[in-house]
Amino acid sequence: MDKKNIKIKRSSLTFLGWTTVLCIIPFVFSSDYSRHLCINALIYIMLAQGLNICLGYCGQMSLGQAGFFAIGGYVFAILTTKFGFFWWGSTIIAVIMTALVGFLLAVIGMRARGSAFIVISILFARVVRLVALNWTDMTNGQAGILSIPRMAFFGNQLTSKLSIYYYVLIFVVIIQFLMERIIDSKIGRAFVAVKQADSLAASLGISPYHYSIAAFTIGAAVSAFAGCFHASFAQMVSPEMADFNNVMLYIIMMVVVGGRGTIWGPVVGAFLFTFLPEYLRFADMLRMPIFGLILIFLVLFVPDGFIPAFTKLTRKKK
Amino acid sequence: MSLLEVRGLTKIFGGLTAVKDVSFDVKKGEIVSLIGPNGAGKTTLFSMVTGLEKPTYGKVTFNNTDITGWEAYKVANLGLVTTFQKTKVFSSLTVEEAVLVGTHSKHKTTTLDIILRNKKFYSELERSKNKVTEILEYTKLSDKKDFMCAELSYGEQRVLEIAVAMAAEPRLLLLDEPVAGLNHTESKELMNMINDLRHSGVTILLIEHDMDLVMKISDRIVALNFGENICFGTPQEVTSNVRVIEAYLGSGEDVGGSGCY
Repeated sequence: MDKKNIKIKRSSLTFLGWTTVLCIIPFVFSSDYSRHLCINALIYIMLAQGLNICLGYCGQMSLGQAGFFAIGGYVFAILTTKFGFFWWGSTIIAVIMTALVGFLLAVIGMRARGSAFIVISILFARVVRLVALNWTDMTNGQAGILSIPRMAFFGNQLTSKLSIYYYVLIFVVIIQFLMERIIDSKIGRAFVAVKQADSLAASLGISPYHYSIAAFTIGAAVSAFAGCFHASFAQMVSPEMADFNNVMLYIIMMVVVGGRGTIWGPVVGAFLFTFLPEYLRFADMLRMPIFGLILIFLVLFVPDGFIPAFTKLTRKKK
Repeated sequence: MSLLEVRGLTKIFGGLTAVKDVSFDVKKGEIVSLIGPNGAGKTTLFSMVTGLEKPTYGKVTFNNTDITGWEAYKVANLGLVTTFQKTKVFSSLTVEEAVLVGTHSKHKTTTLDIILRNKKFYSELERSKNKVTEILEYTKLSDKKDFMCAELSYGEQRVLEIAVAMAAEPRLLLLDEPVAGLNHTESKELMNMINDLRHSGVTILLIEHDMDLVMKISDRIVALNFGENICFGTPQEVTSNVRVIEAYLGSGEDVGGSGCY
């Protein structure tokens, strides 16, 4: 009984610790611009977790997460601006619709093995982008949809960056909480089993097919949720949301450098890759090359990501 | 009472008939061994029973349920668990975590239980963890429980495979060459463990080449050659069968020597 209590207390403490850090951050980075970045980082945490569930835990190489981000954002945008639907209703519908698309894509994509699936996921995001560009009646094409309403807290529209940050933080914490519960359970163990040895998992009663589809669909839903928040915060959506270079690449880096298959890795990754490009702005033309170099160093020295490296260090000390 | 019934199982891969019209049954509580030269179709036969391959013709009945052509995970959930010829372990999990994965099919929590972390979640977790501890003790892997599966020696991994399979509380355990690559002592120990498993109510069907061990442990033997069932009976019946002696044991070689094929 004692051992269990200690373990529960330790994981609760970690959770509280991280949540506290996240609460304090907008006071550490207290300029209006920094807080703007912090909010973006929070939204990217959700996006990164979407990929993390697929890739980090279930081993699905999906490079189409940005597609779900865009679909979620656009459905939300269209519902709130064109139909005047209320904020939460639009979000829920956007998430459900995107989850359905994710589900269908997973069912179709499951037939394809390995690299074929990666290609399908990339193409999916491209198709989403093309639809956003060309279905001008619905999406306004290149110009995107503007004047999307900001979040409201019990009727009061949120205007200050600080209040928006904490509003979004509530949902990030909820997602982290749910993820932790699911990962440390029979479902989470099944995901990891499917990732490491799918035929062995099947011989133990775990259906790789069903669990892969579940992971993928959950990932799509979480990415769509992030898309709604992004649409509301930036107050606009554009086809660039599905873009590989602007969005997907960053999500991948956040998950991989932060730590695949960890709950808090994507949090580190999201903040790192939201702030790093901004800090490099001073370098002007050299911004991208320096960024690339940093990335190479990171992959060389922390190949598993920051959180796993930290865990290994603390384990060794024992 | 037949736990497993195989009737007319046939597998044709294009031009090659790997398994031809094989029928046999396994009674509850028995240990049945499947023997035959390399290429006789033993592993293919196994995969048709476990769901890895779909039979071209034939029928498989397990515990009075027709499982012909069922997916592997469905078959496992009924209580038919298999290990593999080529060692399969969860490389990045610890021994304890790997055996815990094995409890999956018997771990009764719903998604709601998991999110709420209610009493049921914790009681099932404790039950599964106790099962894991029990199995680790039984297979003598307790002191290795925090090791990565990939760090274990080959012999230990072979034992681990059985430990993981046991966590699923199988009614019927299929073992594909469980002692392959083990030295004499390790083989004996593992075979003793398999024999003991029978006493805890597990029925066993195994593929094995070591005739010494097969003779000692089996209640009945199925002898395969070129995909066909050439004899099915007690060890005495099978080893005195002319077709078996010719085909499998080789003309002029001794019965009972290890590695005679």
